[in-house]
Amino acid sequence: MQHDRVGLGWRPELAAGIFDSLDRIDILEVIADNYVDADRAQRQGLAMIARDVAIHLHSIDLGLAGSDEVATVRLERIARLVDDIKPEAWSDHLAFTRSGDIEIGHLAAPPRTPASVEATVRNVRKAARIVGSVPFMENIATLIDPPGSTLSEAAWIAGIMSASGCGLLLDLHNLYANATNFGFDPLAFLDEIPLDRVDGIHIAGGKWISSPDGEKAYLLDDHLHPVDEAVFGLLSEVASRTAQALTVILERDGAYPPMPELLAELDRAREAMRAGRRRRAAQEAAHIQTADAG
Amino acid sequence: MNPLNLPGPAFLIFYATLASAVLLALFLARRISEAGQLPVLNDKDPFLLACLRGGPREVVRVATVGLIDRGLLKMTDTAVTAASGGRAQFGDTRVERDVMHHFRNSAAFATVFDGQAVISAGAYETTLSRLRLIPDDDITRFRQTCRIIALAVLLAVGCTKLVMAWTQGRSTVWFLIGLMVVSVIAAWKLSSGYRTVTGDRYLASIRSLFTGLRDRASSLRPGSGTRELLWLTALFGVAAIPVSTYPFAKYFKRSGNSGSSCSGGSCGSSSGGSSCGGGGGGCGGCGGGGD
Amino acid sequence: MQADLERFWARLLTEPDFRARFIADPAGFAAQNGLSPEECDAVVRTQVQDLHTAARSYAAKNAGKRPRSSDRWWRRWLPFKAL
Repeated sequence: MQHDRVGLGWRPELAAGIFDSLDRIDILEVIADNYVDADRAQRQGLAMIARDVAIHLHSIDLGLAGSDEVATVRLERIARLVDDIKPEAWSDHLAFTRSGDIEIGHLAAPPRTPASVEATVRNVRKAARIVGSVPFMENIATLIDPPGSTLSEAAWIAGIMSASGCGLLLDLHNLYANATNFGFDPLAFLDEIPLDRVDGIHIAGGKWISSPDGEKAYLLDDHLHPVDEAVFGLLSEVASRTAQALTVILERDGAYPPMPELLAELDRAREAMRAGRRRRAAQEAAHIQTADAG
Repeated sequence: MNPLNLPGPAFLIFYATLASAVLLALFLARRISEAGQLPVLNDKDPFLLACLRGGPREVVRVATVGLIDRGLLKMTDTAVTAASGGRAQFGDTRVERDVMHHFRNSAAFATVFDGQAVISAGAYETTLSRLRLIPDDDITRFRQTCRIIALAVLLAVGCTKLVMAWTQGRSTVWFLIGLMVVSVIAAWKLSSGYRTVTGDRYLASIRSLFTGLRDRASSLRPGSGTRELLWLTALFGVAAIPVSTYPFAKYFKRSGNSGSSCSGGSCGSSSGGSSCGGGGGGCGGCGGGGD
Repeated sequence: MQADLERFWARLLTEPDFRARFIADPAGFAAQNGLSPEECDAVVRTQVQDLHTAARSYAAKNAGKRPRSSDRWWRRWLPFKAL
């Protein structure tokens, strides 16, 4: 069986620290959007890293969960990148980023309806056909509930997973932020989604912001802060509930701390995973004992 | 028709065409003979990459920068001094230990190139040569052969025409001499170069991964305990060190030993250049950005 | 229709004028923009506070974006849209 892995998002700003710490980083996740226009040297550079350490490619801008059909040319660019870098896997978000000629510029949660499940499945299939492999799809954080939703986020995700056959890249900070902002229990969310389809996990940090009138507080997923202890708790929980090997990626997009601090967060994630796995093993042992006794 | 019998202007056109063809052949010969898969290299060693960029002297320069950043050496306008009383065991690598040893007594920076450190740094060249990132014996021989053939063609045709012209009493041959000089220099350059074609590609690829580090060089903190300055200097040269943060860098630059970002042959694209293709930034958080 | 609702939603998140007109008269403005009665009901329930916060966040995100090479000045002169 494969082992759980813990890695980091590749950021050129962290290149020196990453190169000096490859023995403590199991996997790197590269933001595809930063390299779709890259020249040959950059692609070769990434391909070289891929020979030293496993790489996942993470796309942001495709907008696969939109009702617009994803543009073939965008997928072809991802396909070329996948071909050049040969990552282990690639992923995108359960979000839409544009509608017609309106560019949102970032990830937005679409209305969660059977229609958006259908559109997402259609786009995921097209992406898989053109890129050559099925993407993992990541749950996103949102500060506002999309209007017209008839499905809960968990049911919506489960519907997409089930119909498209894609795996889930479970972002635990996004889950934690949504749970905090919309007042639901993240553990109940984990009950509802197909955890056996989770392959990758994102962890990150965020910060509290307030509404412009200052009356309401929100947890913003900004990737600029250390990972909250609650997220490590969720990581442990997922590890205790899943049997498959998991790949955990720490996302950090700025305000970079010294590399030892990031490595300490990776170690903390490993510890959380181990704790979850131990809990699972204990539960299984107890289950067997009960069965034997019965 | 014998081209040597062509009249002056027509012969110049012929010679320019011939020179272009020879230079193109040289270029292609290098491309074909020196190209290959990028090797798996110990990416984690900045000294190896410093050597690839500029040779053993560059390794020594980078090692000195690293030791100064760690507070083990002090550099002034005139000399480098071991801050720790010259305890050579502080160095992690052989080259660093040699540099420390060299500066156990205060000495001008340039003297380090006459010492053991450069010889020790030569070990990196052996590795690079084995990987054919810099010319090995085969490539060197092939380059020499190509160079001799190219120079022989250029000089033989040009000199024959010169002799013919002089024997016919013509002295307006300066255009031809100029063209010959330019062609010979170009042929020499094209058949030289510290790195192989693969070496150029390799260095350009590695450097493209570090554009983010170069972009935020001014935010590096002296003595931070990280090796970021070492990587920056190894890949982009002393010229990339911000003098405002690292005042000692001005002494390297002033001494003319700045280790400009490239030496020996072309560097290929230095950074990749594309703004975000280069890699800045990540997802930036989902569902909205920083407040 | 899902696409209409997404488009309306995208404009609310990114266009300040559009958002202001919606906040002034949510139901009327939604109907004016071709949303079905059910969709109008749904968007009317949008929390204005959340909308402002999310919109501000998107604006900050877009303002902080570094241009991609496909956004380079010379590409704007191309006779086709560079994706």
